Amino acid sequence: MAERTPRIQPFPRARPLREAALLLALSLAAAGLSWAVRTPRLPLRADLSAYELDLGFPVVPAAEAVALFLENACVPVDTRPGDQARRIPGSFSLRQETFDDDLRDVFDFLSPADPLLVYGDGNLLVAAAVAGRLRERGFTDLRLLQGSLEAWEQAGGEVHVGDGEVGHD
Amino acid sequence: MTDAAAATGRRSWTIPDWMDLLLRFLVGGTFVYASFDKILDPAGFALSIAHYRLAPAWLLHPAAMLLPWLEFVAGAALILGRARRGAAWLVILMLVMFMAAIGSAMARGLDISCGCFGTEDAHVVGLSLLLRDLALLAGAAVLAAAGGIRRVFNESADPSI
Repeated sequence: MAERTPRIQPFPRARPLREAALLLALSLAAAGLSWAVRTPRLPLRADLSAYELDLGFPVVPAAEAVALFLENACVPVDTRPGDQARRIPGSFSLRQETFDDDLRDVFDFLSPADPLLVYGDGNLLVAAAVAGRLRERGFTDLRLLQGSLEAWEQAGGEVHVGDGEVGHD
Repeated sequence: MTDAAAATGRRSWTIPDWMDLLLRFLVGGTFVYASFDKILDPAGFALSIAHYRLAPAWLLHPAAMLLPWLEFVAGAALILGRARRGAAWLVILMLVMFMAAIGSAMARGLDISCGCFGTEDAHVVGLSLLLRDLALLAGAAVLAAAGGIRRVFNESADPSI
């Protein structure tokens, strides 16, 4: 009767490569099938011009924004969600989720001709969305701050630390 | 070096089963979860990739269609424990690519959302993302490196018996 003996078998070096190739082939098949059955199909070659990040508003670097602020040439608008304890002094809070209520609160303090500097947590798409809604309400002079409050601070901008109340300081 | 490694002359090491399971579910689960939204909305994911301004026109849509499935398949393989080393190497490859893209976007000052967990993901590219990917990379590297040899029990050393 054969004796049960442990034997050491080296793990084949090529095995992970074969496994990876198999998984890649599976993914390719799934992606191909998904592309074939889904309508409308995504064109195989993209038209890059369709993907240009067109925010529709001028984006102002933080240093330039600080200079404008010091000249009283802009009114900051904070689009960050929630109550923010730290913000640019004198900023109005107009959040995407509660835009209509927030605008109602501050409408008496803003004029459609005011040069607004819209800023957020660094995601320009959110700031651009709020700026778009402001444009719909008749505001014409709109700019987006490049970067977040950190970029503003690094550019030498003053930061107000308060209780986070919505509205003007 | 283990006895087995000494016998084969190859350096290797193993990890406890619980750690293997934990890492497979953490890394694999993250990749499977990250793939869902992108599989459902390849056009939106293509937009996320386009914001990095790295992919040429011929690569953008094929990458947007293939990457989510690759994430799903590699993540599922890790969770199920099938082809786990190959899956771990694929995850490493993807993470290195993601980190290079994020690092490049940071270096160029691009203010974009990462698109890591789908088209609605508003997480802006930054150091925290790099650290998260680095942690996943470490987990995947352990899975890829561990178990370089394995023990098998045969009835006999001679297969003809």
